[in-house]
Amino acid sequence: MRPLISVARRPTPDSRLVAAAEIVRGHLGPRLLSISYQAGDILCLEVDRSDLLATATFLRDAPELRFDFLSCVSGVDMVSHMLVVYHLHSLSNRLTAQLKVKADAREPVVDSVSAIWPTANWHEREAFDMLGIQFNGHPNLERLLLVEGFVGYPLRRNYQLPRRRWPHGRMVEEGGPVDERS
Amino acid sequence: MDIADEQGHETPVLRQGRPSQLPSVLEKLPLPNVVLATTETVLNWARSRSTWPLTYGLACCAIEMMATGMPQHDMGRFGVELFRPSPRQADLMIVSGTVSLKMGPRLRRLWEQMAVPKWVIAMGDCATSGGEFWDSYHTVQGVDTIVPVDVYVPGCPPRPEALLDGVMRLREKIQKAGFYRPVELDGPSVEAIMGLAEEGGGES
Repeated sequence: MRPLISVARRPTPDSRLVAAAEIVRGHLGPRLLSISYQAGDILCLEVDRSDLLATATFLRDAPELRFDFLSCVSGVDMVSHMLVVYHLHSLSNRLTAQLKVKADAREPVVDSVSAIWPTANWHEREAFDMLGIQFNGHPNLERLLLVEGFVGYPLRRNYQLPRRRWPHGRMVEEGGPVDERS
Repeated sequence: MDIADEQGHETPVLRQGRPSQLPSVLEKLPLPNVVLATTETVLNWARSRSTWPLTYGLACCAIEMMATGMPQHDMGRFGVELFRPSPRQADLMIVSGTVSLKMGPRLRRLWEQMAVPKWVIAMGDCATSGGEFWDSYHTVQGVDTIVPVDVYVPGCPPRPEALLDGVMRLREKIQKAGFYRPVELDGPSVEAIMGLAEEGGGES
């Protein structure tokens, strides 16, 4: 009997991606914490942050992979931990992968990959700017977008807006402006 | 008061001047093509019809500001067409867009570099009150916290017609202003504006 509700099947991963996954799995072995496919054409990898630099170098240099283009470094505040996501592309092998690394929620520290992919320099500065992720070995880890002297990391879930000086000397209490008429 | 000469030609007199300040002798001069007014009226008339804006766009409002300068709306009809690339040559600052905390001190410095008399139009919701970025961590909540604003133009972004209306309001304001009006030059220092960011966001 056919099911009444048809479930959309996940697209089968591309054969080249499966082959790449096997190479990664064979090289990393137990150091690979998880591996999956997203939308059939993105290889999702997760490693411990102590293995990040070795993994990144392998992904860039292995001839079957050649992930030579880092398109984005994102920080995600997952409340229980901080997630750093690297989006990788191989222009020669036409592969896409995302590499995830978990870090501590309050004091996130991750090794910098800016020596491996120079484009990571500003991406990591932005993640530091917004989420306060410390990238060890970064050549110039300063705020990128926010004003110098800004206190706090505004994209963290527990960020609280400062008490604001209002026009003409009024102050805003937390939770909204004060209505002087009331 | 119109003056008629011997042939009966009437010459209109600018009416914005205060009649009490006009010398009564000059009013009776039977000359053709004579206009009587106070220097204040004449100078304000000239100033209000040649406000040169600073070339300064911040966000999507700047696109509308450019459209206002283009031939279809032609802000040049009202003497506002000469966008000056230097604040030394500009009278009018059109704050067209979102002012971030990082841009705030720069905006204040540009305004300080403009020669007196100078005017400011806050164009759009962001420049007026923060608008869409109300309670944001990095947006100045209204540019009037940094520089004195003469005209607010609402809209997100305002149509060119709205900006033209703001220019008209500014004209009226300039014509009503005293020529030797005191200019409000005090305000928050650049350091104080920087301090807006340093009060600090905490963690809960």
